[in-house]
Amino acid sequence: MPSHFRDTEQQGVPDVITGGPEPVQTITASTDIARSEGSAVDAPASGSLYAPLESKGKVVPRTGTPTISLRGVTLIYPAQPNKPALDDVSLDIYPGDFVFVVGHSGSGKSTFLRLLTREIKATKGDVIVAGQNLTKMRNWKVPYLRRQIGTVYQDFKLLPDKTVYGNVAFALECIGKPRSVIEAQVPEVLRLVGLAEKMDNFPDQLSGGEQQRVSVARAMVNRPPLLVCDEPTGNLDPAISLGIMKLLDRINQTGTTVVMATHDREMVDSMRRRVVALEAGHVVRDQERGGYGFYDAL
Amino acid sequence: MSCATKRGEATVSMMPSNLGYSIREAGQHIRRNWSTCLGAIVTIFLSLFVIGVFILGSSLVSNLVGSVEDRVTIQAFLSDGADRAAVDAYQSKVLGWSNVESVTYKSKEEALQEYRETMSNRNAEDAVAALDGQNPVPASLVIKLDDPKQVETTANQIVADQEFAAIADTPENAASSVQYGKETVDRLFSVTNYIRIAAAVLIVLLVFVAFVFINNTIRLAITARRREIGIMRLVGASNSFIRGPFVAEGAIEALVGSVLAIVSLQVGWNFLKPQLSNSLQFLSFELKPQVVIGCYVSLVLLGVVIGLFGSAIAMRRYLKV
Repeated sequence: MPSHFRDTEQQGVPDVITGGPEPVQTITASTDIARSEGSAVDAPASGSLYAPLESKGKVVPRTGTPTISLRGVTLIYPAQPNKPALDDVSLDIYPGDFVFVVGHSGSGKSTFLRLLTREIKATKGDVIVAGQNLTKMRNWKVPYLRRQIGTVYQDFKLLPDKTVYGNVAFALECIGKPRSVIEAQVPEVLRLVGLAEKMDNFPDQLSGGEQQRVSVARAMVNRPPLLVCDEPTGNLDPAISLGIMKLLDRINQTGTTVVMATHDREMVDSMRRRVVALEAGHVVRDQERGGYGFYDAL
Repeated sequence: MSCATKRGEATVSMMPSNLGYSIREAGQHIRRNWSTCLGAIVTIFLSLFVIGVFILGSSLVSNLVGSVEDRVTIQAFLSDGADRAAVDAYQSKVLGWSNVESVTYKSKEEALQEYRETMSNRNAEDAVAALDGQNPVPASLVIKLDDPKQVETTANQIVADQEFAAIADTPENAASSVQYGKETVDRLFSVTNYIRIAAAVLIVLLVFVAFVFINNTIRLAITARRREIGIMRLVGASNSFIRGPFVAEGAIEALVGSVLAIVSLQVGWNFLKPQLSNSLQFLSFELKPQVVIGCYVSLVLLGVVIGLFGSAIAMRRYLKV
């Protein structure tokens, strides 16, 4: 069953971000996966809950142009001039990578993610995303950067007076996509996240996990090459969290680079993907196939 | 996709659809929050209405003052024994002066008759009867001027003229034969100046008040939709796209408010004018149509400018990246 997602991937979205050296895996029969996935999440007892994730332990080769590149980035909030939120951080993230950013509250995780979407500007150093230096980027260009970055937050950030369909369509309306594109893409992405049947529901009629899947759908509907998640499972229970995790994993399988800040130890340990640990604004660990803590590093 | 092509695409495909979208969104928001919007509309309506009253009122006052100014004349009293030929010669000489519009000769009889009529309420008949058939009122030349403000210069010119001294009522002191109501004229001009300045200041103040009010109302609307704006920025909506619906809302509210103001000004004037004309018959209450139309057009423009700028400025802090 051809999907919009696969179509774009086959055309190979000519972009620095997705243009990884490795041929990207595509979603096959996305609808069916989404359906079974959706039911698994809604009924935690169905048994697939602790099934291994498809991409467990996958390592993305560090070659080619990085999607994200931080070069000696320091960020000092004016409120705390003596305590930099990030201190001389250098980091490369390559296309197709799935990176967990872990650390205590206040270690600089959110600051790091906010730098990527240029909600804040680095005090010193260069943040390069999709080949553009965000430190030097002019303000009017920022919206066009954000169209290439999907964002998912702990608090979903859905509009209560719009339906599920309306919320996802809103993301496309905002960037001036024609109605025909919206009508084709929104149901497609809602099928992907397993919410095709709840299209006309309002967010307050959905469970937390479903709401988060709506916000993932909204982040992905424009098919951005980079997905930034700030504790997407922060206030969901473990079973629902795993459903979201699998969804993000599958999105990553299509070649989308995912950067995810999290406190969820179990999730990080079960995925065995790249882990960047922050501590008081420094990168204290950057590890392929990492775990949440030092003790379980492979 | 490079940023440049994305931008090109966006500007080409977004501009027309963005306008429609903005107006649609604004309409929807006005329907949903009609009470807040009604507040804004009423504020704009009242501000523009008061501004309109001041514009029309001050133009009415300057019309009235203009008609009074037209009546500012110089009276040059002539001696009873003045040679009629010399008077005629002098009349045509004064008529040749640059500022003089007309010079009329008023004979003793006409002057007495006028005195009787204007003083009829104050026992003028008795006073005239007491004169025993004599006529103490001198003949005079009544000089009308092009520019009433120059009345003093022209009066002094007549006083200084030797030719006038020869025919003046009081040849030894020509100044006392020339009257133009110096104090009245001076007071009139200072009063009209004050009225004009006060009207201008009040109009500026009212524009400012209307601006502050609409700015505040739009700010309320924005605060109510903070989340939505946050999400729009999240998904990469451009600033002009985010601003669109709010600016459209401000403009629509201003437009409705100004139309209401114009309608009520017109209705009020139609109601008031006959009553004023009836009770104050000696004054003219005519407004030039171009003044009225100009006033209405400027009210609409003012309203829309206030609406656009009020909302654009209110938006500014929410659009910092």
